[in-house]
Amino acid sequence: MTDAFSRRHPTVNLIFFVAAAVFAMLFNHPVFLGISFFAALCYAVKLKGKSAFRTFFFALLPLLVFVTLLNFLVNHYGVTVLYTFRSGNNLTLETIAYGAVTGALVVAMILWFMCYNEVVTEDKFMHVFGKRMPNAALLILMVLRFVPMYSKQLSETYAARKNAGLASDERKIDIIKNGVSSVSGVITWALEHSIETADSMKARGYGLKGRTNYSRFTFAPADFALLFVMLTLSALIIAGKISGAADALYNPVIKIDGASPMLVLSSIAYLIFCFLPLIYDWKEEMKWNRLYAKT
Amino acid sequence: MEQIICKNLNFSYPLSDENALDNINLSVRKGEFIVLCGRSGCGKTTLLRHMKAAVTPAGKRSGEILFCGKPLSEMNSRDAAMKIGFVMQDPDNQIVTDKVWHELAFGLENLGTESSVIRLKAAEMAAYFGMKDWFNKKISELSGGQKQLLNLASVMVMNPEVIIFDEPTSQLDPVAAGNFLATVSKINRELGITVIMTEHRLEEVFAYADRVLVMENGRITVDCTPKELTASIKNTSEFVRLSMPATVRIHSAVCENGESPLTVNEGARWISDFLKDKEIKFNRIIPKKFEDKGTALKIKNLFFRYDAKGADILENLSLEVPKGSIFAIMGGNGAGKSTLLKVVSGQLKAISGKIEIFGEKAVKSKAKILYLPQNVQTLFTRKTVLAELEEMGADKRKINEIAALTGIEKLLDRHPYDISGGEQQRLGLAKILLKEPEILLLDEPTKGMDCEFKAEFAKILEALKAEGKTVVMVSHDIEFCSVCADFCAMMFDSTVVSVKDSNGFFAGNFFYTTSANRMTRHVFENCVTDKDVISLCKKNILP
Repeated sequence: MTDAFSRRHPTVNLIFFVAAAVFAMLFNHPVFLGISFFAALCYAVKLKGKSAFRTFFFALLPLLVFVTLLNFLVNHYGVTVLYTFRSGNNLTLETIAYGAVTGALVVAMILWFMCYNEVVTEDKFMHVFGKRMPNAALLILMVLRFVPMYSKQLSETYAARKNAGLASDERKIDIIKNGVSSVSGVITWALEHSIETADSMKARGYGLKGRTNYSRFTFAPADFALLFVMLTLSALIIAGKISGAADALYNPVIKIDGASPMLVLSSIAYLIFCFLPLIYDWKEEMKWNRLYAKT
Repeated sequence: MEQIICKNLNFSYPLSDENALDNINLSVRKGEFIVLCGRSGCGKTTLLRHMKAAVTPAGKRSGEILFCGKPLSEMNSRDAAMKIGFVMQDPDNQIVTDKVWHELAFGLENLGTESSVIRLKAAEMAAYFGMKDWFNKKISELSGGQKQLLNLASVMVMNPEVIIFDEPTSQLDPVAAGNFLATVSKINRELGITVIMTEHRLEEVFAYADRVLVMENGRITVDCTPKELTASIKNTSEFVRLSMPATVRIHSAVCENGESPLTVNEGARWISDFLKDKEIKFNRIIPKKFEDKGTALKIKNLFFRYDAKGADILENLSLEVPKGSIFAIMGGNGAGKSTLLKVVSGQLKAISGKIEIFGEKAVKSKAKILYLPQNVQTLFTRKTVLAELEEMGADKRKINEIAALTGIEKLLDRHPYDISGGEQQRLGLAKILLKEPEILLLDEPTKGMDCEFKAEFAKILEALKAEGKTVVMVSHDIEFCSVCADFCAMMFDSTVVSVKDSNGFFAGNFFYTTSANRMTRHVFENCVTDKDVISLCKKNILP
């Protein structure tokens, strides 16, 4: 991982993404939506490089268009009629606008989720939740290990049976038959082998009282600082929402709040919040350059 | 000080009248390295499991087991978990979590240790076992040898006084196995940890062990030092003799008495002394001639890679396998041996190059060419051995014939998972044979087999050869290949670097050869197997 924000404590990572998702759903004001959308896209590109661009242009943009289309083809509310279909239904500006807003929201959420997947890896997730539920955490861990192992065994079994001349690929029914036999073989295999796993767990004292959950993460001053910044910004953002300065209405008429001091303040806070990982990463890079880069 | 004492221990499994353990009396001193050997099913594992309360099997038991003077059953479970470690055969099954660092922490988590303490202990273990480079890896990225070392380390982290090993190297290749045993010896010497181990690779473990126990039918029949055992080798069972290092086998066949050499170095000195006053009239053996019957498999300029942009796994590889031969492909891990078999059997498609079977293109050829995977359990889906055989669609007579050939006719009612690793390998082979292949591809067939099974397996392969079948096998097992292969090929760095008849191959290698060859190369020219050495020795000392 090259991203400085991903190196921070899992709790900080997790809080950021939960807040980003909640805020994205809370605001339908175009300025806020735009900020969230654009920040998520930038961060996804930062984390995943070119492949994020590809996903964006070939999957997410079409999705946005599709949601917009779907909205104005299905809904016909609104007062600003642009065109009347032969069926008598209206095409209205409001439905187009609301469709676009919904589409952007969905895409922004997907982008945030892509970032989340890169940053909050399994062991970080386990760290946050494992302390409270050590046994459930262990169960999840074992699933993480055994599911790939079983699927590997399954594909090996399938191939082995085919190569032993037990099945062919020529007819669909053969493929299904071989698949069923392979699955039953793998189930027996898994049961047999899990006995040994259970022994190994017991041999190392599993089941004693007071199991703890080890974690490799520790809180650093930078984590506290980030938490503090996130909290302050969130307060400003929520203030903007509560004061009603950042409302937008799309039905029956489009009514979007204009610039007010509260809106400007709240949206600047939102801008900083959404770009926080990138800003933090940039700051760390600058620090590194200042310390070590030769001019 | 006596650490573990078994007194008059008897045990039988439920629904069985036979005693799996029969009047066992044993005492283990602190810091001893004990090797327990015996053929499979003799009660080794049962005995080991009695020394660790958490994994002791259920059944009828009498007698007692004391740990540091107190009955093992009265030990509290926290101490029991910490003080006695247990490492099993299969590297994969013992691992619980998905990351190396987490596996190290697992035992300590169970004990309720603080994170800060775990961090220190895990760091200590990682440093001691040289795990620094793979500490952060996922378990699925590790090799078998690394997994087994991890299993040892994650027991060691709990600070045990005794560690019990149940055939820990049987699933490893020789290099990884040697590494593992050296590490075990290191913790025994440096940390004073008592080691009790079952093992059939006696060649290496002999140099480390303080005591050897031999078990037969649930009894301990021999209990002495390795030196004493080799001196009285003539009085022991066939199994024990077969398990001995090559040096001991040769010595006992040639000399009436005297102390046996244990290592290749000692063996080399011994043979010099032995032939000192004699004129060496015969220093070559005449290798068996292989009768040429044409080519079974011809590979020309084969290329293969897994990724479009990745490195070549097979690079410009050419190979000819004579018809009716046993052909061994040897080489280190990652040389591409298994991949080659998969390409030949058609599981993977070559990027370029030709594969011809009996002179025809592989895709057009109707000749049956079947593949027995390394992990034979992938072939088993039925409830009994017989059902496994019947699944192949052959008639009753054929099934009986093959079952007799592979020596599994007594196992037909058993569940395929209840038979030993060596027997599973033979069942896998039997299944393949029922399809009447002309060319057999075997991937590491001797993995997990003890020496007796190996000798029997070699006989089966000889029988197949006599029927005119061609066997191509990939193997790490130098001793096995030297005895049973007609030709050996060495794979290195994605291609075949040399192909020779088996005798010429091993006699020509300096390092990658049998111990019989290494101990005699200064007196004899081309001895590769025990038999070679024994026959030349006898010829030379005859008046």
